[in-house]
Amino acid sequence: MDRLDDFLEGRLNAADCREVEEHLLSCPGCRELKDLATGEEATMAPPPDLLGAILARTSGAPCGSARGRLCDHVDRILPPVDDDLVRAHLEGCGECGGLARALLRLAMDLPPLAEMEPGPRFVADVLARTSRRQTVAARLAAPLLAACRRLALRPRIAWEGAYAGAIVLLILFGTPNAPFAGVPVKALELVRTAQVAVPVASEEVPRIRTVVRSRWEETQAKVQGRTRVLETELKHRSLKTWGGFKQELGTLWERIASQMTTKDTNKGERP
Amino acid sequence: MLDVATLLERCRQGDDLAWEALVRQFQGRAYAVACHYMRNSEEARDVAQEIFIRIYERLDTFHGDEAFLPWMLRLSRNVCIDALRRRKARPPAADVVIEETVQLRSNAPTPEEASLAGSARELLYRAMDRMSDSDREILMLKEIQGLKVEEIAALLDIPTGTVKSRCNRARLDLAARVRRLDPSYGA
Repeated sequence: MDRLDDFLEGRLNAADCREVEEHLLSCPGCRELKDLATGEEATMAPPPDLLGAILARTSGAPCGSARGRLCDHVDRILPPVDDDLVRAHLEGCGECGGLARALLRLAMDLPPLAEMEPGPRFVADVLARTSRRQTVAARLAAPLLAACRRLALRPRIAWEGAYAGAIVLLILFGTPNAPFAGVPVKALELVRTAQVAVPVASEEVPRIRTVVRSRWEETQAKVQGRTRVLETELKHRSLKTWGGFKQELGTLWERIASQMTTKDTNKGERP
Repeated sequence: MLDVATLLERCRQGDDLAWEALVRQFQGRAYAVACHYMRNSEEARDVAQEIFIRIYERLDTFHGDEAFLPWMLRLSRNVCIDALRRRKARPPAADVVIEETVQLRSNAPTPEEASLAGSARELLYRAMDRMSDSDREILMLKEIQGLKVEEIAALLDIPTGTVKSRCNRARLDLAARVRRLDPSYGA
């Protein structure tokens, strides 16, 4: 009887085995015990709700605990013992098993959702909205243009332009060391040479001079005539205005003087 | 596919082509993130453009020693939250009866539905549509965009343990929702 476990698990030597077998033949109690341990009754399937009933009366349903480790089980980061425990639970629990399979499938189905097609015009639209700010030159060009426009709109820009132009001309032609210092003289010589070379043109010069002078005198006479008329008209108008003004002033003065007199009279009459 | 670090360096030097390549490479991700937050394809498209404009403006602030994707996703999230705030502050264009709104909401195709590639995607989007915003966000960051737990913790400013537990809860929730919609899912 003491050696029944060892006998059943094959840990006895041949002599001891033979001895136990002889005892089992003669002892009905030990034979019954041996049949219980190895017979069909020993492996009888339990009722399906037995485990649930036992757990409900002891530790409660293990699904919560299993689900707490289910994601780690799917990700294969659970310690081996916990992993075996979860696996064992999944074999017996259809609901948790289904969840585990769904989690495995999600691990494959979710990553492809990381990208979605925004449409063919998307890149072009983004580039259109960012291109004007792309280079340093482009960034500087806009304020520079605006500053130039502001400068050009000022009233004294003409003066400043003329001044700057005069300085440039002076630098280029006016000083003895200027790069184009000899150019005007050369140009004059060239013109003179051309006048000599083209006699027809030199003959035309006195005639043009006469025409220009006569036109100039004509214009001068006209301008002088208009100026004289304007001057007379202005003098006449100013005299007329001045006369009216003097008259107004006299009337006003008389009125003020009469009021002052009336005031003094009233003061004298008062007791 | 070009190396992101090289592209970024070229972008900082003002290379237009590098910027175009960068936009092409990450446009899908930016659009997907915008869709997840905005739940409207038209708005998502505008927001995705805003994301790239902000990236462009802040390229100089990106340091090469950190990964580009978490940086981009952080920027994208901020842009989306700004857009959602603006949408919340903006009054509706016209008075709409509540029942009609509900009807419109349920019948209107979500952005994801508009670009569905298959029924599995459709199923996932339908299931995710009914999840809470926080669960959907953490799923999007970890399971979809593939950020690390530490990166998500830094992004959302929460402990790593909270990220793990919230993510596991969201995954289980999604699995349960998907199985309710299609009991054969994963079988």
